[in-house]
Amino acid sequence: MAIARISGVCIRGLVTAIPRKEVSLSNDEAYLFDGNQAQIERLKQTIGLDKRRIADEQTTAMDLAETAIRKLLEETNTDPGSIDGLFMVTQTPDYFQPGNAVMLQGRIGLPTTCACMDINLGCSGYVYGLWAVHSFMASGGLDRVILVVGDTISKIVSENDRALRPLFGDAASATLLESNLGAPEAIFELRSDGTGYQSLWQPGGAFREPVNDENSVPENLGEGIERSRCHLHMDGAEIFNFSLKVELPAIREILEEADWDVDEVDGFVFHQANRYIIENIRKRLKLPESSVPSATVEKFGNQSGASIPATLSDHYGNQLTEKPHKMVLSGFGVGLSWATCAIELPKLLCNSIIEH
Amino acid sequence: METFINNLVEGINSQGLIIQSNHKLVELPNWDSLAILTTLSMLDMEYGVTLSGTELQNCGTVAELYGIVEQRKK
Repeated sequence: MAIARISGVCIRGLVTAIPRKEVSLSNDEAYLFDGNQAQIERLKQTIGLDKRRIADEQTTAMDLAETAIRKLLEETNTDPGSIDGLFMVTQTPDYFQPGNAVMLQGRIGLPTTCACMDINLGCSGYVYGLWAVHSFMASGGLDRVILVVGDTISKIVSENDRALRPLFGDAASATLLESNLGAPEAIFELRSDGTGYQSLWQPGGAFREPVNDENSVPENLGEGIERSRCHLHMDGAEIFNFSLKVELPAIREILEEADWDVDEVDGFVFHQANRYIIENIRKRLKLPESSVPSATVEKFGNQSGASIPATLSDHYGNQLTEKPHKMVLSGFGVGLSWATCAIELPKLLCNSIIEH
Repeated sequence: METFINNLVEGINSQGLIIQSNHKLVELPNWDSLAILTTLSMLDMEYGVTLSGTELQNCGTVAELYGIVEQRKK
């Protein structure tokens, strides 16, 4: 069973980059609902959709990542020459090859003694990435590492998809981790169920279904949804059921593994799929409202793997630079894949959101 | 059955709506992907019954849905 306990590594700082461009459901996307404001209001109230930050045509996840990393190095006063590793979790890289991490090493001018690698995961990716980096660092040879998580999912969603268009935003978030012998144990629980891969996926455009004249043409699926095989596909009801099914045991197990009471946890930061899913999980686990942030989606959209660090940056802000926090982080989604950790954040050197 | 109907009405956020057991689910006002989601949540929360989206959509009437829930509830 994939449960890992790793000590001697700590998070030092966090910067999240979001695109400057904001779109709103009520104005910019009313066309999806034929201008039916009552329907839009229902979505706002129930699911918590409202505004999103999306990358313009020229901006990629790598560009957002570069902005976040440069700011992180600056705010933590870190010499780029001292970085031993850069890992990027993304499913929307600039190219099929090479990966984003190695290109970012070159763009930012990190030393060639740096280990670089991409990790292909979505909503569970920040926790998986933290686990991977903790593991790499604990195995020796890496003392200062940057983990960056970023995607531009808005670019793979059909413009005429009533179900998915109002949901996804873009972001990249960079985290600085350092070896520190005194750092407390972090506990990670990693999980997968590949039988559910068709609940959330982008079937066309890679090598099983290379892009062609047919699979790139949107098909009308009814209920205001037009998608091509090269667009993102999601079965909302299946993903909702999956989230409840896996997240309740995941949180209970991690609390037990860490021997933490609900009351001593400063924050349960879930992947910000949408407010409705998070509230459903929170109520069933009877977690206090004040320790479960759920407003990231209505401000920025569902940012895939970057949603957990973006919530740490946006919701907690300076609190994380003022005192240590005990956090439970949990991501779930595409794969299907889910991962949860119990981690003690020391007082951070920086924790901010910047616009790209 | 009455409580079930009340829960259903609340679940799809259509307070005041009068529903009969022989009503077809697809003919309820606002019966869309959002209503399906909120109904799945209500069934899970109130009855401990998890239905797939397809199972729910395959239920013709309110009474059929009630039957499945009664059969499966814990």
